[in-house]
Amino acid sequence: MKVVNLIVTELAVIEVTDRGLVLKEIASDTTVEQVRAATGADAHRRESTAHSEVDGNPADHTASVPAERDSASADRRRP
Amino acid sequence: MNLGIGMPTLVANHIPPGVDITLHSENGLLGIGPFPTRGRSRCRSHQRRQGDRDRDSRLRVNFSSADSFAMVRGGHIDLTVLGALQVDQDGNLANWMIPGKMVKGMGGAMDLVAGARKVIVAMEHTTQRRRSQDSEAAARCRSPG
Repeated sequence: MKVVNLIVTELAVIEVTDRGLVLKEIASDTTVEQVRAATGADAHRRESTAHSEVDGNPADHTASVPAERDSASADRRRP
Repeated sequence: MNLGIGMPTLVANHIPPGVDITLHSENGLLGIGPFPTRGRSRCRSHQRRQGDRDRDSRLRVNFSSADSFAMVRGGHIDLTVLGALQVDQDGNLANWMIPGKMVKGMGGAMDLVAGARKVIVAMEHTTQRRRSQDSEAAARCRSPG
C-alpha cells in the first residue's frame, strides 16, 4: 500500500507516483548522477520501465522515465 | 500538520511568515512554533510580553496523548512529516526497527500514515556508510515496515 507521498533528503526531493519515484529537486551541491547513484530504487525502476517500453507506445518512451526527464530540467532551487 | 520526532521538528523553524498552519505533535501539542531560543519562547505568555501579536492570536494547547491520537485516527491531520529508515519506490515505509539493532519503536507513525491525508518523509538519503545498496530510498524495504 502506498503511504508515502513525498521523500525529502539532504540530496533531493522525490515524489512517489503510481509509476515510481520522480525526482523533483536536487540540492545545489549535487548532481543528478550522484543522486541516482545514491538511490537504490532508481535503477530498478528504469529496468521495469524499459521493459514496458518495448511493447508499449513509442510516444511513452520519454514519459516512462520520469526521473531522467524531470531531473534534466530540474530547477536547483534549494540553497 | 503533524511533525514527527527528530529531523521533522526542524520544519517548525522554516515556516515563512504569513503561512497559516497549525502544528501538531503526537505527544499532545497543538500550535507549536519554532525552536525556542533565549528571549523567544514557545510559551504564549512570554510571546504576549514580547508583543508578538500575530503569533499570539494562534491557538496553543497541550493535551493528553490519547486526545492527540484521537485527532490523528479521526482524520483531522492534513499533512504529516515523518522520519524513516527506508522508503521504497512504491511508497512503503520502514521506520521502526533494524533487524539485530535496537530502535525505539514505531511511535505514532502507523496511525499517522493511516490517518493523515498526505505523508512526507524527511530523512538522510543514505546510511552513514554511504553505500548505494544501503540507500534509504530502496527498491524494496528490507527492514520491517
